[in-house]
Amino acid sequence: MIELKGIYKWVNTGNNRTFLLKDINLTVKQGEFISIMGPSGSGKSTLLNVIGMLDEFDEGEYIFMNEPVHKLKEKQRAALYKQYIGFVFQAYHLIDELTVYENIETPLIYQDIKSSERKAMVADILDRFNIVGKKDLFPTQLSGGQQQLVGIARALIANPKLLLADEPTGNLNSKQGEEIMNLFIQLNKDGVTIIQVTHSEKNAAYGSRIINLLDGRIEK
Amino acid sequence: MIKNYFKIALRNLVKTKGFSFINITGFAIGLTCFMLIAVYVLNELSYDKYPADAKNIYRVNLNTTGNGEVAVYPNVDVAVGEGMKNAFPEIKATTRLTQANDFVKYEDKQFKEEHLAYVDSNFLQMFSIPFIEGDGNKALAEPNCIVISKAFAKKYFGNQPAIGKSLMVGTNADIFKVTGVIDKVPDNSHFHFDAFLSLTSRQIKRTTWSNIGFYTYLLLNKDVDPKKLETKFPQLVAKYVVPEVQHDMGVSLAEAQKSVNNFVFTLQPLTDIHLRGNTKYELEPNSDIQYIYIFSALAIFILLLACVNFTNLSTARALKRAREVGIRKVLGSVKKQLIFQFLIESVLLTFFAMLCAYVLIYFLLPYFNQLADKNISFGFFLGYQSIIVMLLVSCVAGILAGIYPAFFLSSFNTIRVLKGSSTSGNQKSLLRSSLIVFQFFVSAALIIATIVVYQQLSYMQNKKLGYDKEQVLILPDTRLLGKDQDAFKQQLLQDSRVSSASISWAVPGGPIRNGTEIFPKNNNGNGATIHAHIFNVDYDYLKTLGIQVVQGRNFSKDFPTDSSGIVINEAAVRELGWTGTNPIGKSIVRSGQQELTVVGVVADFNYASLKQKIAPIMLMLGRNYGGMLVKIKSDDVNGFLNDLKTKWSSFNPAGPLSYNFLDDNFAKLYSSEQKTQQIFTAFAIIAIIIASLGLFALSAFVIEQRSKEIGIRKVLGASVQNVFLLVSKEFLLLVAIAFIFSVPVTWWAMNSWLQDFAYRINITWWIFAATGIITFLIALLTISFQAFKAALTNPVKSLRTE
Repeated sequence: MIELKGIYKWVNTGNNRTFLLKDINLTVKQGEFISIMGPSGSGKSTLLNVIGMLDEFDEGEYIFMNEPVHKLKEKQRAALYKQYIGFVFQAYHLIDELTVYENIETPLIYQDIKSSERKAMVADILDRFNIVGKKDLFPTQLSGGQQQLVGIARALIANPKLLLADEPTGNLNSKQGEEIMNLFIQLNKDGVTIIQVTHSEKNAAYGSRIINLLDGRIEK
Repeated sequence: MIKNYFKIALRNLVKTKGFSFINITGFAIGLTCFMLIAVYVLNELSYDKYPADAKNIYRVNLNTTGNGEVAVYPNVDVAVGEGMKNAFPEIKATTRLTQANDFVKYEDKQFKEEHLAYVDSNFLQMFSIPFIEGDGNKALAEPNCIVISKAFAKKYFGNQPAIGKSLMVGTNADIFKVTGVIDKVPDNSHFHFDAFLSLTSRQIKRTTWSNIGFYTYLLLNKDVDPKKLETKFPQLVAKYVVPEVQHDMGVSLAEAQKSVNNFVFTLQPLTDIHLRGNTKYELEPNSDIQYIYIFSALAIFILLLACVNFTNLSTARALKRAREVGIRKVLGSVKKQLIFQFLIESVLLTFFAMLCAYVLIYFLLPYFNQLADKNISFGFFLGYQSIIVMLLVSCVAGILAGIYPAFFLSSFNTIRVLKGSSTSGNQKSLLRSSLIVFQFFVSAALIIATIVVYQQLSYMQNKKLGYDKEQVLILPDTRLLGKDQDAFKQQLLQDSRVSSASISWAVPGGPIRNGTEIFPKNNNGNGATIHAHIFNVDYDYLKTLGIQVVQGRNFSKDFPTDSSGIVINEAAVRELGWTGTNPIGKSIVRSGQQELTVVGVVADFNYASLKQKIAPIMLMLGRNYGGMLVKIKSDDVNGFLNDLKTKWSSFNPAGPLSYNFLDDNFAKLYSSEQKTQQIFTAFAIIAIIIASLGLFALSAFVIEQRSKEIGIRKVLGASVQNVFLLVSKEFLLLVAIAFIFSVPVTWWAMNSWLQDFAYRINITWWIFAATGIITFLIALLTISFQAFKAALTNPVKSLRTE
């Protein structure tokens, strides 16, 4: 599903070149649940962003679902991304001005899905996540765990093949975190490939494979 | 403490350079406009206040009613002033003026002087015009005396003393002795003459009341009510005017007595003349009180726009400083201190703007003077009054603009702010929204006004006038040739470049110099007495100007009886009640009981500004006062003019050749409208600049405010277009609302402006459509800069900051 070959990413500060990612080679098969670990500043989030096509890289090849991402144009990349990838953040990143329902609906609007169809899909996922009763509330009226639930629901609404999670439990207490991790296991069983970035050994253990990063390199 | 505030305020200004720049620029432009216009308005209002007794001086106007229309004349007959003074003790003094232009010669220097005035001996005293040399009390007491301005003296005498010198005036070379020198007539006067000649030199014998020609001013005693005095004037009309009418028009006494009602003398305060005197025969084109209102409104609008910007940006930016406010509160700052701090900041900003405004005024003043036809010096703005006004306006605007943000900022909830939860700007956006609507309302309205004025102007310049104004040369002074005028004309006609020439002083677009009352003989038609302008012409007038004869014929040498024949226009046919009948061969009677027979009818042509309806005219052969119209058919105008000058000199004329072109003359008719257009254009541009500056900064702010949301949306799959639409939609909606408001308001306002024109355009829908599109595009362009930036930003950046 994902093939990264010799990915480099750097920033130039004056005469020095600081590498954020160094020679990353990684293959992810469909159905895997991968945890990326490493200390702060090791490039975890950068790698996740590169995989999620939110960030560019300077060198290397990236093949996603048999498409060479590094050769695609902005538009094609956006189409690919919209169709296959969902994103979950540590800080949830819900839009404060929109209700739970509208937050979840937003990705569908950007995929030009008809209003009636959208209604059905959102109702479906609200049901699945047991948050029907919260659909008219605003994010600020929810607890952190509930907000993250909404964030995951939003990430899944368009049935992505790949779910990228950047420290999804970082802002949650352990009980809420556990619930989210169990949800991830469930989703993984349903066939969603998951890549998560985490600090916690315990959460990393939920994954089927752990990748350790240090200073932008994968530790063997 | 205060020092600390200033320091922080200054640092904030420097830190947010972009914001400060936009705010200071916007405000400086607003302030500059305000000051310039304020000075203009004050100058206009100061007209004719310089005489010591200005409040008690009145001009005698004459209102005559004919064909249901009232004609107002700013001048009356020779005996009116003196007659009134003798009849009513309320009148302390009276004085008269009649204008002239003539050739003036001293030794070998000869110039045509356009601004001469024959005045009564007390004229200059009544107007308190001080003498530099000579005795103001006696200077004009004798006939053939002349009082001249300093510049006039310099022109003729150089540095020699002027007093006692003799000037030759007119083609008869009458001798006038210089008995006084004045500096000049003040700029803010409704007349500007270069020289004043004693009226007694004219040796006017008649003592009539029913004609016009003498601008007559009355000095009333203190506390005399002019309205009451006016009610007594009909007695004099009955006593003097009625017998004259009876005699001149050959009508019965009963008929003549009607003129008591139709012949009304009124008093116009001297200080009203410049802004409210709008008759056809003013000494100079006056201004219009309407423009004063419009300008004042515009000045205040522009200042408001600038204040609005300031408030808008400050409230918007306030959110950014929420944290600072929170920390200050935790550290023990009281609300009052916070308000004070923010007020200092905003006042400091307006003071910077004031300095910028001074720089702007310095550079713009020459252009402004040209546009407004004024002579205001920069020194005026450095006078203590101007500085006080500037300081006051800056202070008030600074406080007004700062007070809302100050209170708004200081009322933040400390805990919420520090926890970093968003102090959503939403609840405050109604105010910001209405301010944006207001700004674009003004901009759109000004654009519409500019287009309408432009259209009316080009309509007037391009309308078919009924005569051909191209390639017609006007020689206004051929009387200098004396008896050789005809010979000169014949010589011109032999030139192959001349297609036609006519000796006449009646120039379309020029002053109307002669008129009379006429009525159909034997009461055929409707029997009404109408006023007709008289054009004294020769046989070639119609041909030279390409005026079309629709009935009958032009004057012809084959008909000796044409000396008592007239050619009238269609308007005259209508007003005489001859519509539907053949007017040819019918007779009319003119004042003085002369009988005239119609030989032809010409199509109506616009001999005056399109502001005026075409009124009846009659063309007569004969005395034409010595001007000439020459139609040429050559591209080599310069070559022709050179030959013309040679030819002119060969006749040994009594003065130099002067000439101008009919189409140039014509263009001058609309100089005031042209000025209006320039002013509207300037204001529209300024308003748009200010509004755009505001919109630019505000969109930048709002987008920054929403950067997290935009980032999320992009991660969720929003495309560049999606984001662009998201952020511009709101602003464009506001602009659309502003535009919708502006339509009915300007439709009404511009229609009432157009009422001034007898011939005018219709305001069409596309003017509004075009304005809508222009405003929309400008707004879109302004926003798009920021919106694109937002849409293209990598969401990773905006989300990482969390």
